[in-house]
Amino acid sequence: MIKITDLSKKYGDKTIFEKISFSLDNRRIYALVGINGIGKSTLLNAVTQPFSMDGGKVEIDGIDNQCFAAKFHFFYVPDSKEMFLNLTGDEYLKFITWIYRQDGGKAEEKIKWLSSAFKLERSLNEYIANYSLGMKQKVYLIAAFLSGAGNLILDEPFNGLDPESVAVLKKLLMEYRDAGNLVLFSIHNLDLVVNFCDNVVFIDKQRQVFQAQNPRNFEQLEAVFFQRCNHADDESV
Amino acid sequence: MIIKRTLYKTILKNKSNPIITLSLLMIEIYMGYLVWYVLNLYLPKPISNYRLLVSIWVIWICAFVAVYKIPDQLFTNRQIKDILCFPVSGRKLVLLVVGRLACSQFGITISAFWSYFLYDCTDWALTVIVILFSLVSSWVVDLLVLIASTTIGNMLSVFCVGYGFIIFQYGAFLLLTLSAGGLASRILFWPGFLAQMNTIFAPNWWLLIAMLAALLSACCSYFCVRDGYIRSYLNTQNFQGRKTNKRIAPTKIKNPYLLLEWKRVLRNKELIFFSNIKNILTVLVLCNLLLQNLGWKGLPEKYALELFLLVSCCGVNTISSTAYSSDPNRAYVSFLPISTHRLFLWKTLQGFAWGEITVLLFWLGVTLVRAIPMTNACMLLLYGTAMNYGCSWLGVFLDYKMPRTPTSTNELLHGNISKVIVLFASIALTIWEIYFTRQIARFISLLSFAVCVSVCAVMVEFGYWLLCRRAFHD
Repeated sequence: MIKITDLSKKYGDKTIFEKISFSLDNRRIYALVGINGIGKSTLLNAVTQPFSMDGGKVEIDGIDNQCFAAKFHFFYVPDSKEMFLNLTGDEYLKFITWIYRQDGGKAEEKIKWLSSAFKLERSLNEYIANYSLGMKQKVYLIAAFLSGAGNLILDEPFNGLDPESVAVLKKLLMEYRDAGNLVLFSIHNLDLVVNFCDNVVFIDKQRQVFQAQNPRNFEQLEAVFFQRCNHADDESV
Repeated sequence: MIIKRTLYKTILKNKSNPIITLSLLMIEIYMGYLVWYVLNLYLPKPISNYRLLVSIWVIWICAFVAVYKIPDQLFTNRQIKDILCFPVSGRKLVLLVVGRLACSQFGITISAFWSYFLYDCTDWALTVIVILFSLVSSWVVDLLVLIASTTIGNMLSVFCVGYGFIIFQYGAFLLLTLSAGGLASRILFWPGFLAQMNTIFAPNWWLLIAMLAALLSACCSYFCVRDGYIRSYLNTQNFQGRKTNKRIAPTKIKNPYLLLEWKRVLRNKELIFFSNIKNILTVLVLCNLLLQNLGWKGLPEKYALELFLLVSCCGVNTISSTAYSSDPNRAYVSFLPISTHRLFLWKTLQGFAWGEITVLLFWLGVTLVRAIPMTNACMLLLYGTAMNYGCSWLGVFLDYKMPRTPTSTNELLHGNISKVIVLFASIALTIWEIYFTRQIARFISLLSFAVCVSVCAVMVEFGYWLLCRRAFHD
C-alpha cells in the first residue's frame, strides 16, 4: 500500500506538483499515464527517494519513506538502464537477494526459474554492461520479483521487451498482484493499459493526479486521456 | 561560430561556466605574476636570465595538457562516433579540438610572461621572441602528439591499440615529470647551469627552428589526419567496444557491500592501472628528488625521511579519494536498502586494502635498503598501516562530502581535490610530529610518537564513524 499526502516538488521556480494526495491499495495493478515530460518519473522518484521531494509525506505499507525500513517494502526499476553495469547478471541478482534479506536457497531456485522464463539463463554470467537494452530490462525485472518487496514501482517496464517477454511479464505481474501485492508502473501504450491493469492513475495537464477504474475499453480510455491529460499548458519538465 | 560551439559542446559534453572560466583565468594571471615575483625577489639577478626557464616551463605545461587532451578528446572519446553520423568531416573535428587547445596554450603563455614586463622593459623585442618561441614550440608539441596518436591508432591492431594509448600517455607523463624534476633540481642546486643554458640559447635562431618544425609538422599532420584520422579513431573505438563474451565464474563473495566495492575497483581499469602506476611514480619521483637534493642525512630526525615516504604513499590513494565520484552506481543506492553507513566502511576498507600494497612495497624497499632494525621496521609498518587507514578514511569522507553532480565530466579534477587535501593534511601532520619531538618534547623519539599519533587518528576516525551515524545519512 502506498499513501501520498500533500506531495510537492519543484525544479527551481517551476512547480511540478503542488500538494498532491492519493493512495494506492494492495492487490491492484496501477498504470501511471500522462504526456511526455508531465512528471511521471518525477512522481515515481519522489515516492522512492524521499530527498527528491520538496514537501509532503509518503507512506509505504504504513512506514514513512524517510525511514530506512521502508526501503525493504518496495522495489523500484527506474527508466535508466545503466544500473550495476559492473556486475554480472548473476552477481546483481544475488546482490539484490542479499540486500533484501531473502532466503538464499529459495532465491537460487527463483533465479533459475525467472531467468528461464525470460530466456536469460545463458547470459547470467556475463556483465550487464554487455547486455542489450531488452536483456538489461529483463534482469532488472527479475530482481524486482526476487526482492520480495510488497510494492513494485516500475518506470516503463515494457520498454525494450520482445512480445514473448511482454506476455511473461504481464503474467508474472498478475500473479504478483494476486499474492496480495501492489504494482505501479508508468506507461505510454494505452492498449496495454486497457488489456492489463486494474486502475489507471492519470497526471492531467494541471499536474493533478486522479485515478479511475480501468474501463476495459480503448476508445473510452483514450477519450479521458485526450480530454484531461493532453496539451499541457506550460512547458514540459 | 555557433555551429562550432555546439559541436565542441557535443563532442566534449562541455558545459562551460563563465564564472569558472573567469576564475581559472584569474588564477593563471596570478600564477604568472607570482612566478616572476619569486624569481625577481629570491634568485640572483638579472631577471632576463629566467625567460628561458619560464619558456621551458610553459612548453612543459602545454605538452602535459596536449598529451592529456589530444588522445582523450580525439581518439578515445565516444561522442565523436555519434557526430560522425552527420555530414561532419574528421578534419573539422581535429581542427576544432586542436584549435581550442592552441587557444588555451596561448592563454597559458601570455599568463606566464605578462608580469615580466613589470620588472624589465629594456629588451621587449627579445622577450616577445621568447614568448613566440614558447608558443610555436607548444603548437609543435600538439601536432607531434596528434601525429603520434594517429599513428598509434593506425599501426596497432584492434586488440592492443588501447594499451598503446595508455603506454603513450603515461610514458609521456613520466618523461615530462622526470625531465621537469631533473631540470628544476639542476637549476636550483647547480650554480651556473642557467647561465650556461642562456649562452646556448639564441632566441632568433631557436624561433626560426621552431617555426620550421611547426611548418613541417603541420604538413605531416594535415596528411596524417586527412588519410588516417577516421580509421585510427574507429580502430581505437573498436578496442573500447570489444565485448568480453567469456563467461565469468560465479562470485565467491557473500557480502553485498564487499561485492559492490570489489567490482567498482576491479572493473575500473583506469582506477587500478592509471592511478596506482601514477601514485607509485609520484612517490618514486618525490623520493628521488629528496634523495638527490636533501640526502638521507639531511633531515633533522632519524626516520623522518622514511615517515615522509610512507605518508606520501598513503596520501595519494586514488581508490579512496574517488570512492564515491568513481562509483557508477552511486545514484541507485538511494532507492535500495543499502546502508550508506556500512557502505562508507567498506569503501574505506577497500581503499585501505589497495593502498596497503603500495605501503608494503615501499616499506619493504626502505627496510632492505636502509637495513632498519626489526623493532623499528615493525613500528614503521604499523605507522604506514595506521596512516594508510587514516588517509583512506579521510579520502572517502572528503569525497562523500564533496559537492558533485551526476553528470560531472571534469576528469582533471576527478577526486584530485580530495587527494590533494589528504596529502596536504598527512604531510602537515608529519611535519608537526617532527616539530613536536624536536622542539617541545625532545625526550620522545619521533618514530614512537608518530606511531602513537597515527593510531590515535585512526581511533578518532573510527569512533566518529561509529558514533556519528547521522553524518552518513542512514
